[in-house]
Amino acid sequence: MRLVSFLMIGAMSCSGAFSLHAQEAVTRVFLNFVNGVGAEDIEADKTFVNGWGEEFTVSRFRYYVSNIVLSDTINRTKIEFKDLYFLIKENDSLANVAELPVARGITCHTISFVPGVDSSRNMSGAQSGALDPLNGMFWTWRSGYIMAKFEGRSPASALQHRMFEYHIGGYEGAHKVTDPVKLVLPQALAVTGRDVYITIRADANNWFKGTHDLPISDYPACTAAGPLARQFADNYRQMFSIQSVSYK
Amino acid sequence: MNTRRVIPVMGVILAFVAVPFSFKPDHVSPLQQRIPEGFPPPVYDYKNNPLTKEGFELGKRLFYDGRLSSDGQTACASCHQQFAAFSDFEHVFSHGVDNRFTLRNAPPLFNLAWHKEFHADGAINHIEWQPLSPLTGDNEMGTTIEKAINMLQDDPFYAVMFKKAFGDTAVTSQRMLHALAQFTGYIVSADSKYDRVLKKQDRFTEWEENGYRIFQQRCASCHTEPLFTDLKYHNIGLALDTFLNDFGRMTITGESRDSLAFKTPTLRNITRTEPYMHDGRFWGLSTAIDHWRTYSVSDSSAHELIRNGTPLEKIEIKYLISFLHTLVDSTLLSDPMLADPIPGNRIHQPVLGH
Ligand code: HEC
Ligand code: HEC
Repeated sequence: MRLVSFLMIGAMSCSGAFSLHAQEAVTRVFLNFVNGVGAEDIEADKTFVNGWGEEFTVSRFRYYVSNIVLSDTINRTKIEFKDLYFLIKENDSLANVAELPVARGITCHTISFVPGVDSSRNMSGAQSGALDPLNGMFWTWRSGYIMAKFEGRSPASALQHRMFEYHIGGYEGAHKVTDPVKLVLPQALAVTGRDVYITIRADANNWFKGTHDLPISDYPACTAAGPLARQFADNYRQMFSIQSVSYK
Repeated sequence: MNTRRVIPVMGVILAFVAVPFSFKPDHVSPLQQRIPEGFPPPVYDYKNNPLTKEGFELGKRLFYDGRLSSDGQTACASCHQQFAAFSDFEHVFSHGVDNRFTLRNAPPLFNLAWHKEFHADGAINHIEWQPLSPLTGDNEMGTTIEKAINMLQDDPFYAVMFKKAFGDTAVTSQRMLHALAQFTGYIVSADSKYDRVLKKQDRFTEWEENGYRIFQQRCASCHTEPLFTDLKYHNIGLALDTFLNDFGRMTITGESRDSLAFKTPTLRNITRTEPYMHDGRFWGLSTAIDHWRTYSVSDSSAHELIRNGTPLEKIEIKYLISFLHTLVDSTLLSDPMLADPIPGNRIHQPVLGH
């Protein structure tokens, strides 16, 4: 266990002025991901409506979160959490929390993260934990992580079972879908002794309508890297917003 | 930081100076990666997967175990036999579960630690990820990662092997894949007559010598020594098979310039790996080389060398074939260390000599 906590702190590479001197100086910052459609939370058997008026239900809504960076934009310093990978699933209250050990005394104004897995981990062989291929987020016929997966049913789909299925990936060259998301905190976050809870909301409706128009009726499936996957990724990169920040 | 943690780790490093990156439990016996003289540094160097006798033995058993597949008898070795340099002996397409066939010809397996990408189109980016493709392919082993792991977990024999290799009995996908890479990456071919000639332990005949000279001029830019492949993708002007519609590298990159480009296969042990090309379309070496003489190339995007090179003479092809025969490595073909470890193993497999 001790080795684990050593690695976790080791994973924080401080490119700014922050440093960790003693264990006591660490405070936990929790990023809690809540997945919804508009104002409602995702639940099985619930029917939602997207921006095109298409009804749909959700059976899978999963994505990776990695390369989290907390930045102090005034002093231009940042903390990078390089080796932490999280798999966010529907509304799984246990899985959907990213715990970050952060040095006390720092201030940060923005959070950024990759909604996916960086190319380096896509190319460095068998992984474990959130990146275990057992999680069903890895393409076996053609190496690479499924960065985000969204499946369900909709009367707007002409596919069998009226299903729609999006498995979005691509980690290199023109197929790359791993641009980071940057969120500005409503107020500067001062890390003191108290745990910090930041709730980030993801709105599934952004998948269908945003930079690109991708109604279910026209695009009921996308299951490989390529131009369509990039369009979906452009859209879902905009689905995140900070809902609340609290201290406990 | 905690100093008590540091001491035992250093102890491990000191115990295995020969394997500097080893953080293995101290009961394992490190195995030295085989890097033949004159080979470049390998791409896969076991840095994150320390090579041990125990890990290798586990990987070998997995390779030969048909129970990993949905029909219980399709092992890796069903399509990759040692006597065929780990290709599929005289099969155009290989037999997977449920009487299904692969869509490509099974390539030989050796010197894989030097490959950056795998499969004829480079679909697989790492030696450790590769087994997931045959394991989960409906036309290969037809299983799921979960089922494969459950099978291993339920087998007390494997519990012992996992413990020996990794320190405890936990079966994880990462351990299974690490073990398989310990076996597949360890298969090395560098003991052919050609290698002995380079080391001045043997001599080419006149025909072989002629062939080698032609080879260096006409073939070595792609079939580059010492691996006899540049590991790149080329379109050598073979017509598209309109049943298979296999566009090779383009499937992966989406770039039209990669249309019909396939990874250059190694020519080591080439006399053991008939039939030839990604789809096994050619029987016989002379047929496989003949397009360098006949040039029936319709595809204007084919490689410059095939479109504009001087056609080979018939006699040059004969010399080349003599040379290619010097690339067979009988040590590899009969190395007991790579042989089936399962007594009376009954997997689906062709038999030599029929
Ligand atoms: C049903 C037959 C079949 C089975 C079973 C099978 N393979 Fe293969 N193997 C193939 C074929 C066919 C290819 C070529 C794939 C391609 O190019 O798309 C291949 C390619 C490979 C390659 C890539 C070699 C290269 O030069 O790129 C490796 C490595 C490999 N197999 C290892 C394995 C391992 C390990 C297993 C067991 C987990 C296995 N194979 C099971 C048929 C099989
Ligand atoms: C432009 C690069 C290039 C050159 C030059 C080249 N080859 Fe190849 N060779 C390839 C590629 C690529 C393939 C695989 C094609 C396929 O699978 O469809 C191949 C396949 C082969 C095969 C079949 C191998 C197998 O395992 O299926 C043989 C034999 C062969 N080449 C011999 C030669 C000889 C002899 C020469 C010189 C006269 C030569 N090649 C020149 C790229 C090249």
